[in-house]
Amino acid sequence: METFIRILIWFAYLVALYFVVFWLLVLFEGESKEKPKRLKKFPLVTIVMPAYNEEKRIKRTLTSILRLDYPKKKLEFIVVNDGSTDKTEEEVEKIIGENKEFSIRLINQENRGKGAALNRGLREAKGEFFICLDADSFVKRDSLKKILPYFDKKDIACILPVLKVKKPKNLLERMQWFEYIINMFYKELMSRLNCIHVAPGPFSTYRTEIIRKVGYFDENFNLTEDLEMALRLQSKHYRIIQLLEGEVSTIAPKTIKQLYKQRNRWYKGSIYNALRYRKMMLNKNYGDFGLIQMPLIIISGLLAVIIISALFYYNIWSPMKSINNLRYIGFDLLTLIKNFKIDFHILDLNFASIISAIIMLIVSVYIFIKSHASTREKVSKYGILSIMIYLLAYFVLLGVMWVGILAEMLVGKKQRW
Amino acid sequence: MVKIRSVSTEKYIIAAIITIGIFLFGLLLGLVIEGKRVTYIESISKQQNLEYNSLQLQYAFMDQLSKEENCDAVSKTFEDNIKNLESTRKRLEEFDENSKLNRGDFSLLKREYVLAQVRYWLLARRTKELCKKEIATIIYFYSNDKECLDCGKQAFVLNYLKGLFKDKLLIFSFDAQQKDEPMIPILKHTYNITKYPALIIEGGKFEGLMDKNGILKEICVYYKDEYGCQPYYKSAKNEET
Repeated sequence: METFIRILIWFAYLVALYFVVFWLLVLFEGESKEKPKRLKKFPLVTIVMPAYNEEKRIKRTLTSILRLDYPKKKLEFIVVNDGSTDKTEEEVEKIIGENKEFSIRLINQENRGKGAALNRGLREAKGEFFICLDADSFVKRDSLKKILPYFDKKDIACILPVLKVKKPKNLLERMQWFEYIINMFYKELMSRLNCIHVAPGPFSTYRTEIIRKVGYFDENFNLTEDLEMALRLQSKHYRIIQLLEGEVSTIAPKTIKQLYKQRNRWYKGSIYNALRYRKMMLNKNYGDFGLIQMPLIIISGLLAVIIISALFYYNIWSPMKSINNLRYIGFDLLTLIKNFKIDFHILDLNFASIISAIIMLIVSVYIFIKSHASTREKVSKYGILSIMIYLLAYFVLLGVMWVGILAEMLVGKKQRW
Repeated sequence: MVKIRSVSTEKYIIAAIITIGIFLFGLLLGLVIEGKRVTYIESISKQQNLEYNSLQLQYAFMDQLSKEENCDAVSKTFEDNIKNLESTRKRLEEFDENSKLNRGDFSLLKREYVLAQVRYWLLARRTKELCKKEIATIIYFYSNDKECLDCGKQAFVLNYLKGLFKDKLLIFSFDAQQKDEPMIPILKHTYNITKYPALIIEGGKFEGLMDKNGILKEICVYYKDEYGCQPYYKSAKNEET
C-alpha cells in the first residue's frame, strides 16, 4: 500500500511537471499574432444583464456600463429581471427614466435561472455582438473598443477581456486578486493554442450569430452555463480568445465559506461538463484542446487532491501521531527538552524534496512576476507578506477545497447554485 | 465536416523529453547522494572497528594484569563508542529506508552494525562484572513492516529513557526482520521472541509495547540511587507501607 501511494505521488508530480513544462514552452515560443487595426466602424452591441435580487448593486453596475467609451446609438442594454422578489424592477425603471438617451430595456420574467435569463436577452438582442455582464461586475471605459477589433476572423466566437478582483480588501480577496492575475496570464497562453474552456460571466463578448447557431445557453444545466457554452463552441471548432487588454473587475467571495460555494460550483461544473463533452477527450480532431486541455480539466483536481493529501500526511498527520507517544512517557516533556540534541548531517537532507520545492518556487515566482507584467499590475501592490502567503499557502486552501468537492461528488450530493 | 485543428505535436514531445530529463537528473542526483551516504557510513564503520579492537585490547590488558584502577578510563572509551554506534545506526536505518538503488551496500553495512552491537552488548556485560559498574542493558527487537504499529512508540520511549539515564542505560536495537545476518535468528531463538516490539531487559524477555513505568520497574533494581528512578522508588515505597 505504502509503495502504491508513493508511486501515485511521484506520478502526480511527474504529470504536473509535464503540464508546467508544456505551458512554459508555449510561453517561451512567444506570440506571433499581429496587432489588429483600430476599430473603424462601430457595430451594434447588445449588453445583457441577468439580475436576480440585485436592488443594491444594479444601479452601480448599470451606470458604470453606461459610461462605456462607445457611440450611444450603437449600444443596446437589456436587463433581464429573473423573478426578483426585491426592488430590482423599480431600481431599473428609475435608471431607465434617468438615462433616456440610452436604449435600455427591462424584461421581467419568472425565476428560471441565469441560463434562461441570458437566453431571453439573446433572443431579443439586435446587436452583432452579444455581451453578458453580471450585476457584480464593473467595466473599464475603453474595454469594448479594445475587444471588438480582435473579431477579425469569422470563426472567432468569443473574446475575453482581463478579469480582475474588484478592490480587494481582506486577505482572502487579495489571494484571489493574485489568482485572477495569474489565471489571466495562463488563459492567454491557452488562448494561443485555442484551448480556453471557460468564458466567465463578466463581459465575455460573443458573436451573436454564432451563439444563436450553436443553440443558445444551456438552461437545464445551470451550474456553470458559461463553461458549458465555451465547451460547446470548442466542440464546433470555434475560437475563443483571451486578451490581456480591456478590463473588467468583479466582486470576489469575502469569506472562505462563500469561496468554497463558488469553487464547488466551478469545479463540479467543469468536471460534469468535461464529462458531457467527453467525445473531445484525447481526440485529435479537436487539436490541442482535445489532447491537452480536456484531460487537464479532469486531472487537475485529482492532482491537487493527491499532492495535498501527501503534504498533509507527511507534514501534519505523522508529526501529530507522535504527540500521542507522549502518553507512554507520562508526558515528561522536561526530560525530552533537556536531552534534545540536534544530530544533523548534511547527508540527512531529503534532496529530492528540497530540490523539487526550490524548482517549484522559482517557477511560481517567475510566473507570478510575468503575469503581473502582462496585466500591467505592480507585483508589490499588496505587499510582500500577501505574496508569500499566496505562493506558500493559498494553493493548500484550494487543494483542501478540491478534497471536499471531490468527496461531495463521490457521495453524490446534489449541487444547486 | 471535420475542420483540421492544429496539434502541437512538437511541444508534446519536447515537454516529455524535458520532463523525463528533469526526472532522470533527479534520479542521478539521488544516486550520487546515496553513494556519498554509503561512503560516509563506511568510513565511520571503519573507525568504529578500530575503536572496538582497541577497546578489546584494553580489556584483555586489564584481564591479564587485573588493573581495575583502569576501569574508569576504559569505561569512558566504551561509553563514547556506544554513543556513536547508536547515532550511526539510526542514520543508517534512515538511509536504508530512503535508498532506491544501493540496497545491497546498505544491507551489508546493516549487518556490520548488527555484529558491532552484539559485540558491545557482550562487552557491556564484562564491564559490569569487571568494573562493578551500575548499568542496565536493554536489547530491543523492532520490525519495520507495517504489522508493528507499536515499534515507533517503543523507540520513542527508549530514546526518552536513554536521555534520562544516559550512560547508565545501554540500549541495543535489532531489526528482527533482517534475515541476511544469522546472528539475529540466534538472538531471537535464544530468547524465544515471536512478537514485536520485544525487549530483553537484563536477560528477561518482555513482548509488546512497554511504557516508561513498565521499563523503570525492571531496570531500577539495578541502580542504587538514580534520579530517573524517583517515580519508581516512590511507588515501591508506597507498596511496602
